[in-house]
Amino acid sequence: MRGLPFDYATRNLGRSPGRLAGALVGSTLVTLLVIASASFIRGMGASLDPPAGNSNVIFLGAGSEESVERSEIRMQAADVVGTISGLRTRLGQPFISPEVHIGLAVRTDPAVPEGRLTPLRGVRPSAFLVHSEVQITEGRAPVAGANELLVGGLVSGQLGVPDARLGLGEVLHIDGREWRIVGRMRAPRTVIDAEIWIPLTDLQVIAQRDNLSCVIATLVPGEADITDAEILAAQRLDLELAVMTESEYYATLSRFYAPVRAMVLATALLVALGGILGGLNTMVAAFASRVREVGTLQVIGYPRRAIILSFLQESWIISSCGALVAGALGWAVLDGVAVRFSMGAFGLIVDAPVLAIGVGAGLGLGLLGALPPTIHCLRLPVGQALKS
Amino acid sequence: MRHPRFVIPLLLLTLIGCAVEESPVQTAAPDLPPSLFLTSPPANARSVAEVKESAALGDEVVIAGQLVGNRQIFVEGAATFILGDHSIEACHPEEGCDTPWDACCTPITERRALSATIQVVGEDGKPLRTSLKGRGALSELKQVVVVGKVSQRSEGVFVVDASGIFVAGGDS
Repeated sequence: MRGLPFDYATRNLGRSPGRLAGALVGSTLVTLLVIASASFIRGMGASLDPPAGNSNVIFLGAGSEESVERSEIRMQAADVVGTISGLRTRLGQPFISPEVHIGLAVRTDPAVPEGRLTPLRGVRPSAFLVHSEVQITEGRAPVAGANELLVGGLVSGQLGVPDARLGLGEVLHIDGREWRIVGRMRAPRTVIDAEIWIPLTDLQVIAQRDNLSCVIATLVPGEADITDAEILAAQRLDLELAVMTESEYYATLSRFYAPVRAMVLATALLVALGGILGGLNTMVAAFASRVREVGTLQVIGYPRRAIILSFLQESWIISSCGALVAGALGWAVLDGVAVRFSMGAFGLIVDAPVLAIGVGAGLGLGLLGALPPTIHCLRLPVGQALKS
Repeated sequence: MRHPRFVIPLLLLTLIGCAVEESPVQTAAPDLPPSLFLTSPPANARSVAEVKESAALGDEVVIAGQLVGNRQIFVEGAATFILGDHSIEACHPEEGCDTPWDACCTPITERRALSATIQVVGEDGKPLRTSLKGRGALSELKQVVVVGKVSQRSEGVFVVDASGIFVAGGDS
């Protein structure tokens, strides 16, 4: 087959700068929209997944298995959980974290009448053993009785303030009192990243409760398992405990949020579809105006397949450039951006699979944008094409 | 381009090879004592409420009740179950309850006060690592009589190590 030289496709790009710019911007925007949609879905999904390799079990109040915020168990439960043999320990300290989870209005400005509902977690220092994914990136852990807070990386997005507003020494207003930020933490791709941690007793005072939401314990694989925890829960009927692995808990949570995720997915697909149709329109318009050129190439003797291939090359060069620009933009601008939702916030994730989806969509746009108008041009009789 | 004839069968074999999963390592469940399930009801059985009120730690007891009072009656993977007093009323399926044995219409504090934990222990004193569900016709809402010894007894905690279980209507 006599083919058109690759130069023909590349030189054609510069023939009409306006058309090139339009197609380039179109493909960049489409890819960016697809990346944004995919990163949203991936970010939300990842925030509901438990950390990998986790051997934590959660003791909740019986009947509150679907929501740790609704759960209430006695303080005594933490000591009882400590009787399980096979708990992980470090320097004699068992990996047991009694916690209170509650959503409270947090204000950055005392003059603002209403704060933003933010997930707060009351913890003891042992929480850092159980939640090994948490890293204090600045400052230190808060001390009980001193009105101190440890703030997650996505809380600024949750509160709608710049990240600098939550620096060390800054003050937040909770329950009519001032609380000083003494530490910043990160726990990427978990719900913890959108939380504020506060000493357990301090949160119990704020919430006026003397019980816990849950007790989280880490088991040593091979020495203890979920059955040991279930036996304890069955033996201690007085504590009214339900127990599940952290993976099960997050799976339950994920099922609970499945309709929300489906809605988000549908919205993201519609947005991406809108973008693709818009981009397609630009590409089709750019190629459909080249009927005479297609006719001329046929007269010179180039077969139809060679013309299609050359136009596809041209289209793919544009869409590849657009996809690369969009990928770089998406990675630089969107990755880690906090998005608020009912149970806190999650960060958009722009990683390899998301970039692959975006680039794939961009290349698909290149194919769909060039192929139909080229075929349409080729269907016209050569004489008619030359006159058009 | 023609592909050698062996390419497609090779690809198919590769796919089949990928699809075959290794079966998980099965650890043998420990056997229950052969005399555990009784063929006739033991004499002098008392209700869960009566036994909980009067029995002391280490006492031999004969306790009659129903497998009711908790959403999860059996512990999966351990010879442990919850025994409720006859006075705990199970919900009715026609009330829209899928798990009538959880007796969700009865307050949880009342259910807990009228429930006991029954377990079959091994030589180490720990529950055997095998579920009792379906063994000796044991299932939710069954009426049973348990013979055993009180092994844990404190405020709100009542655990009986069973040596014999009679299941009413069961084929032991």
